[in-house]
Amino acid sequence: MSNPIFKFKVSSVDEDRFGWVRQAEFGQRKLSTPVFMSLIKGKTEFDTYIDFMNTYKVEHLGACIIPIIDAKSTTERKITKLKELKNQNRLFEGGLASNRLENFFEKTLVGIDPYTEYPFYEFDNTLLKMSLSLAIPESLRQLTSDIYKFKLDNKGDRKAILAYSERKYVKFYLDLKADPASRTAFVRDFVNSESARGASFGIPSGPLVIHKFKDEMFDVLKEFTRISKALWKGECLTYLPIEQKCLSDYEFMDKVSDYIEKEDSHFALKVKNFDLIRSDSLTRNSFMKFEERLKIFRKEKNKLAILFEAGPQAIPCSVFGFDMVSTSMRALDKDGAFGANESKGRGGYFDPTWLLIRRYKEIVQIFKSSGNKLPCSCAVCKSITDLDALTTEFWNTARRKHFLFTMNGLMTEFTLNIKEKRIDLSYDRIVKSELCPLKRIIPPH
Amino acid sequence: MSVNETKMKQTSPKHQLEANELSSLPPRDRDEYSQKILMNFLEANPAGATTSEIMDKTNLSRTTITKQLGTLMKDGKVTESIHAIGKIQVSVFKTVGKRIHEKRVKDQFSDDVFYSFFSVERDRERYIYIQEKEIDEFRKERVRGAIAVSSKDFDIFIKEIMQFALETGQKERETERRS
Repeated sequence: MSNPIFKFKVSSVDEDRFGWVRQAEFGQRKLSTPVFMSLIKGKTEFDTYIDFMNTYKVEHLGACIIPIIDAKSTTERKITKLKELKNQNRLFEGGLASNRLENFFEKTLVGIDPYTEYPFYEFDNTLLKMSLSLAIPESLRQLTSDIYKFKLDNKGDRKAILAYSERKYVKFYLDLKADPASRTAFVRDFVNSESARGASFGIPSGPLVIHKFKDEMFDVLKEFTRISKALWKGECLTYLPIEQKCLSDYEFMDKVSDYIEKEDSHFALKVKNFDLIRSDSLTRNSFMKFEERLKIFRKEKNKLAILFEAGPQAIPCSVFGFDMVSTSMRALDKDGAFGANESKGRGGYFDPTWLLIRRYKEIVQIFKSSGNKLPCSCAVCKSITDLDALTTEFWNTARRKHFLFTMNGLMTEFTLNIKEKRIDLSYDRIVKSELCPLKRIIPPH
Repeated sequence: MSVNETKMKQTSPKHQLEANELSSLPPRDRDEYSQKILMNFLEANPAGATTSEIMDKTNLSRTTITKQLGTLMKDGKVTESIHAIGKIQVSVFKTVGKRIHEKRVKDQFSDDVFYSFFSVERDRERYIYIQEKEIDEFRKERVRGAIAVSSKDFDIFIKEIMQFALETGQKERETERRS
């Protein structure tokens, strides 16, 4: 499947104080901001997402993001399937299935996250998966494998592991940057890999900006972004993966703001292990300042701002600061841990009133006390009348679909509030929930 | 507008590879990159440009520019017009236009043939641009032919086509009846 070349066309629809509703067209795809981008991990989640998107009309969910190491079991598998179905499309059954898949790819924006920051982080399973993935360049696989081996040999010695991965990671990127042929080959491999795995737009494969080496890593990132943009045929974002520590560095964040203002493309930010609920007020203030700068960039240059792996910030940042936000389909869980391990049982449930994930045990109590009803009126929750009768697999699929419905509902509510010039109601929604500490990243009205 | 006048306003593509980066790319990627840069350059300069002007603003060599412009012309994306400056003839290359919308229509009788409809903007005028494409033996898309009709003339154009189809259809039926 060749990826048609498109670019975002952004137009303003409505405005109220610090909030906008905008329309982003990307070929035939039309997205109404704010948009919730689901971060999809693995085959089952992708199948659930396709089924959901083909069944329900949801205005604010038409985009997803897939880690490159999961592309094999998700987009790559479906693209191969689509090709097979097209080759045998004379059969009625094949025709129907290929229509559903084609329909999905035509209507949904897919981003393939290069995951370049992961070798630096300590998630063993991800590292192992990454060191074996053919979707990433061999040099990065080798680096990941070295770090993984070191971590296995030095289990428990956290300090040594951190020092080793930091040294290896920084050296790897600085060496790459120094050699034009290697850096071009590295970026080209990522561009080709993302594109072949169904990405609608490009995400540059620059490194994570580690605060300790912020200037050097930021330079590498800018260089890699330039090459990615030169090589991508269609839309390629300006992408900034940073450590949360960078947020409280005003001087650095000013440099970042200057850079994204000068760049002519849309912008995506990823803050590793992003959590402003438990952070200090300096970090929150700095982030708020950054959002204020983004506002100018978004308004004057008509650019989109996207927040990847937004965690608990996803909802407040869709009220102010960003046009698209992404978190895992399992709800606003922290990056990396991805919530409780589902292999042990039933995962948590996103409470649409309090905007928090409730443990399954809590949900059983709420269900029983409210007359065998879940505290939500979405199509999935309404159909559940007996929790004991459900299989674990069914519950885990249902809770994801419920989360997608909830996010679409919230985005719709925020849109209506802006249309009715009552953005203060969106602010109040955050204040009255468990996300209350994050009211500080929304301007007072 | 003269060739010299257009040169004044030319802007170079923003994101380009350096010469040593470009030379490290494999041939296929180099071709794709060069075509992208040429299209970006010509879209940003709708009045068109000569090969030398393109050379000035990009890191591409004359040979690459000539080769890739040839491919783009074959694909129906670029047109060439000859301008005379005194006794010298200069080729000016333009894109067919900036593509605003695109729609694909399949041939009902063949899976390997389809039509692409574009709404394009050129010299501040809108055109409907239709390409007939086929999938060749290497499963690659190839443009068989193309036509651009100004939006202003489009109604008349459709009427004439309908009229023509009716007339020729009538003739075909008459031929069938006689035989």
